Amino acid sequence: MKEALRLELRRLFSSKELYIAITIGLALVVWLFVHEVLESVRFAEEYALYGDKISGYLYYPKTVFNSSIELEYDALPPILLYLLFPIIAAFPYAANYCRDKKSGYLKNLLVRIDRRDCFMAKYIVSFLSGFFVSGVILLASLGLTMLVFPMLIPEAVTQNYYVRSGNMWGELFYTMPMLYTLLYILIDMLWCGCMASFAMLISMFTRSAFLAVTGSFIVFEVLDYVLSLFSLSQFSPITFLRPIQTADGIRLGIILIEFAIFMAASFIGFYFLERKKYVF
Amino acid sequence: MILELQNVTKTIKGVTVLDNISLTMQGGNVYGFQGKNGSGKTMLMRLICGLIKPTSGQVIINDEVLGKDISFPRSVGVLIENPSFLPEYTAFKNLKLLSDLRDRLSDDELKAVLYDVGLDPEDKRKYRSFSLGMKQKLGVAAAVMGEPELVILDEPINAVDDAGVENIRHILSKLKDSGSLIIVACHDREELELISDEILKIDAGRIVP
Amino acid sequence: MYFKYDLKVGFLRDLPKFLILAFIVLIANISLFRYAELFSLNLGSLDYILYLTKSIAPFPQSGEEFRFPVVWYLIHLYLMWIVGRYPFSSVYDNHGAGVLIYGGSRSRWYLSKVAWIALTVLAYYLTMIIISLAFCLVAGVPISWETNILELTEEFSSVALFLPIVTSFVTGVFQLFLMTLTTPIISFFLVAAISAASTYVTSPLLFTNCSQLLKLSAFSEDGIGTGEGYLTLLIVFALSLAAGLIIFNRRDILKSQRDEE
Repeated sequence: MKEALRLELRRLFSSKELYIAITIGLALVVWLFVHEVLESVRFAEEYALYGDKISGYLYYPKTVFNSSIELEYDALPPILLYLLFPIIAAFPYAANYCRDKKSGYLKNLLVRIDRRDCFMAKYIVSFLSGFFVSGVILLASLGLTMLVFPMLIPEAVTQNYYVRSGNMWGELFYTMPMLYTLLYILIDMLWCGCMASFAMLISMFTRSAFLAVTGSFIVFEVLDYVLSLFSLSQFSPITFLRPIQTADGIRLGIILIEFAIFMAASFIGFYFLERKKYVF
Repeated sequence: MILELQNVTKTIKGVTVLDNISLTMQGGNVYGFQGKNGSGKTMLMRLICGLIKPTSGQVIINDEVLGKDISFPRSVGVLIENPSFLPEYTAFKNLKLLSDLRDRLSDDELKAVLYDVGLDPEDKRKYRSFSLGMKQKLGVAAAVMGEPELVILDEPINAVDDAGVENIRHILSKLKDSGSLIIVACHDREELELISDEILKIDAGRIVP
Repeated sequence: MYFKYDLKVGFLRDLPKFLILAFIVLIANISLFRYAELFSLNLGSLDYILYLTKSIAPFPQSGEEFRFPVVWYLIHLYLMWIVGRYPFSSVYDNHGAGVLIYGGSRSRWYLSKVAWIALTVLAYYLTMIIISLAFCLVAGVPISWETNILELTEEFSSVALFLPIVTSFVTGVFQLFLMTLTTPIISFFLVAAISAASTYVTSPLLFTNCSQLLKLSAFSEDGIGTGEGYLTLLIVFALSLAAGLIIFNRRDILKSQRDEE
């Protein structure tokens, strides 16, 4: 098992797809960072010129907790990132299994490594690929924002924060915002791992790398669409992954139960059913 | 049919895979490409098909420059590397689909080609359930259907049984008699010598004496 | 001759994929029906059809928060997914290479894929219309050609109504061009990103804006003009087609590219 895992991890970290996915994510992070810095400068200049002339004008600076990609709510990069997360998460590794099938490498592996170990290693590494990519992107954004913006405790009255106290962990956000942010990043990382694993389930049915990588994305988009039309967006992973919680009614229980369902579905499909296809 | 390669060089990502190759081949002959793995045989075949472009030099087929006057040879049949077809179609349906692109052969002609390579034209099994040898035979059938002027076969007898090899020899001999130019790459040296009129040795992207 | 092949292999063989579209459209219809009942709206069949490509008005409008147009995005994206899957799916293996060679011309191969995209787009929109009309008949929604769902800001222009179809076709051609530069996965990703960005930013440069009815000046004050939209699409189409043809004509078809499809 250890050897199979080491082999798959080595393949993951030497694949160009991993670095392309991280680069795409980091490009969005940098885009947002530049946008936030420019906004901040513009705001400060405006305040210096007119701040004292407008009664009731409230000066409130940009902070880490409304400028990082997780918590900014009205800029394009976070919208793009969270919308495209299923494809960014699946991109580094999901196509790998299809390529192995197509090239015959899988059969080569299976005669050398125990079948259970091989499929388990692939499943674990697929999860880790999504977990790792999303972690790098989200933590990079947090780190970069912390270099420039202050870590002020959020004040709800300023209306500069999207998270409401009635939201899941809302109280935590207004008392220990860093803990809230880190916990939410952990949820996102787990879910991105789950999305990457789900792509392995799809790759069971196809040899096409295109279908494997984009299939998971389409499934999560369709799910988001169907749920949103019936006003059930709080159940959609694409919606509840955003730490600003754009839908009401998001609960940790929902997030964890859905996580367990998707993980179980992909594990049963990939580890148990797919493994049995290969009998020599 | 006259096929001429003039100082053809191909470089991919800084690696020279074909190095200043010049040669002339004429219809009515079988040319055997011999060489180690990675010597450039398949790349040369791809180049003659028009699938890859020379970095320098040119390929001339019947006075037409490949890539300038024509995208691909006008009358060609190819089997390069592993054969692949639409998995949910039968052998006959796969051939029919390909023949519609160019020659529009009649059903009887297609059935005759399948019969010649040793496949049952009435077989209703889908391609996905074919054995490796059957897939290879279908690949050869697709390459030779319509008796093209230029036939390019990369490892045509891979996984083919003795009777199948005999069939392929017979087909090539018929094509040669009808004036086709046939290029074959094969690792079986004896087989290659048996079917070829001339053997061209390729090493590190060069034709060697 | 390539087109006949594309028709058989790329279109007829892929028809089951339209079932997912039918499902998406049906869910949208049901949702609109419930909405209309809830707010006692008088909607006709044209409303049900236009709802699918309505999207949202140019953002930001005063005091409005950004609400992502899920219906439009998914309908647009699923079409691009179908378009992204087929054209280069087999060209790097022996069969696809054979098809390319037997047809005799790289340019004709490429143009046939463009024609295939046009056919797919038409069939896609036709499916949307048929499913919506069928839903209206079953649900007792009046079949009418008046719209209550969109407010007209200028004289009703049926020319603007065709923009979504033309935009989908041009986006498909643009995606085909991207596929000559990079892999289908990255091409699809880029189109998905551009499309998502166009819900947020209203500019003719993000040409997928033109397939969102509420981003057009015919239906929103700050929208893109109909003529401006068609002109942008014409430019994108011409550039994508020309660049795609040139690149594909020069491109090597190598086995190593196969695994990327």
